[in-house]
Amino acid sequence: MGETTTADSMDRLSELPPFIIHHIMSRLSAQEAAQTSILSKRWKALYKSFPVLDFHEAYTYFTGEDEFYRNPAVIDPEHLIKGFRRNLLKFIKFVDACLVRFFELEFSIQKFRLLIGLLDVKRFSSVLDKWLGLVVENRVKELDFEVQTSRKTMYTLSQTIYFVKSITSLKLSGCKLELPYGDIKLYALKSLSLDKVCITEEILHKLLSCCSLLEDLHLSCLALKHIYVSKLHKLKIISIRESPHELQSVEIAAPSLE
Amino acid sequence: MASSSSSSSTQVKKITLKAADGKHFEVEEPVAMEMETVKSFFVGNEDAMKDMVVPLLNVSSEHMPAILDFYRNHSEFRKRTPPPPAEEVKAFNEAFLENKSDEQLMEMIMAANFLNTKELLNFLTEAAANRIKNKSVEYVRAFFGIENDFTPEEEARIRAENEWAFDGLDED
Repeated sequence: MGETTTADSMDRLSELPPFIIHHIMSRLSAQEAAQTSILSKRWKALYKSFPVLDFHEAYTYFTGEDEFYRNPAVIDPEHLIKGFRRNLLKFIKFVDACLVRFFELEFSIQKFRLLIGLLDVKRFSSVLDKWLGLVVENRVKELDFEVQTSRKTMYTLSQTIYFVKSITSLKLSGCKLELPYGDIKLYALKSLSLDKVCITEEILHKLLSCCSLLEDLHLSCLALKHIYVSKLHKLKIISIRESPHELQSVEIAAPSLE
Repeated sequence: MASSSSSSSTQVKKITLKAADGKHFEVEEPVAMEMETVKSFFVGNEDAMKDMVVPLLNVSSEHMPAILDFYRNHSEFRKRTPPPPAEEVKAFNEAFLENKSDEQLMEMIMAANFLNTKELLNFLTEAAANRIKNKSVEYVRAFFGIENDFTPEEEARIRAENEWAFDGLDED
């Protein structure tokens, strides 16, 4: 048949090596990457081992919110919140299934990024704790964790995070950090970013003094009065964005700063 | 002799690469060394440098000029001080992809993989990802030459299991 050549080339093409397929997936949004699981059995299997778990949920809700403010008469807020809850539950179910699967298969996770907007933090904080526990078990290297809530009811970060030796990059936004129960073990941490995180000077200082490999440090909107950075010999980049009304002093002792 | 040329390009050593179909390509040494596969050919084999031909069994000669062009330009971009404006790099990259069919793109990805060239591979996989963004399932299958080996029931189950991911995506 005249079609043999195209059939041959197709076979060859479908045999892209797994890591290249993962490479391509990493350039897609989380949703698009997940959609590749419907292409074929091989792609479904490859999506299962895709080591970048990047979930951001909030946009569905916030697009709706914009519309609500622009045109409040058209959209019924009750309806909007119901829609938001329904989407949120779907999203949570999806993330949960992915993480449990990774855990059961003992795949390691390169990167876990979560952006979630919660109206009811109390109800879901045990889910967030569970997820962090699972990604930690899977030796996560990069963790980017953003919880959007109202200032009053913030998610209190699970203590497990303080003791993860594998993490090289940690980005936290919108959660509350409490004093660790034991010695912080973030030995591999090279990059730390805290944004709109509720933290005390004591905890920040304790955290920084334990991360001797730290190269990048970004602090913003922490509402602290004093920031003190010392003994970070590898620190190259530091950025601090704080309101001048609150921040009174910054002291930095880092010999490698660029 | 050298007085006629302000650059040292005339002295640059050349390396000969042989594509899958036997065609030879003469390449400036620094450009050839961008490819790990070529580099590893010479590691611990310094005598081989001068006149050895490096066989590249998995790269068709059709793609060699484009691949070499990519590396010539990108290594020049990297060396230049001050660095070239982002628009210039972007314009080159866009022109590079402009006339490539999906199939050619996939073949070049395979070639870049064989040559073990990270920069080109990153660039091409990103291009492939851009081409399948917001496309239907059927389109993406055709793009990669994937045969659907799911039954309709299995497909429906995957959609249901990953409800969040498939929200807003039409069934085609």
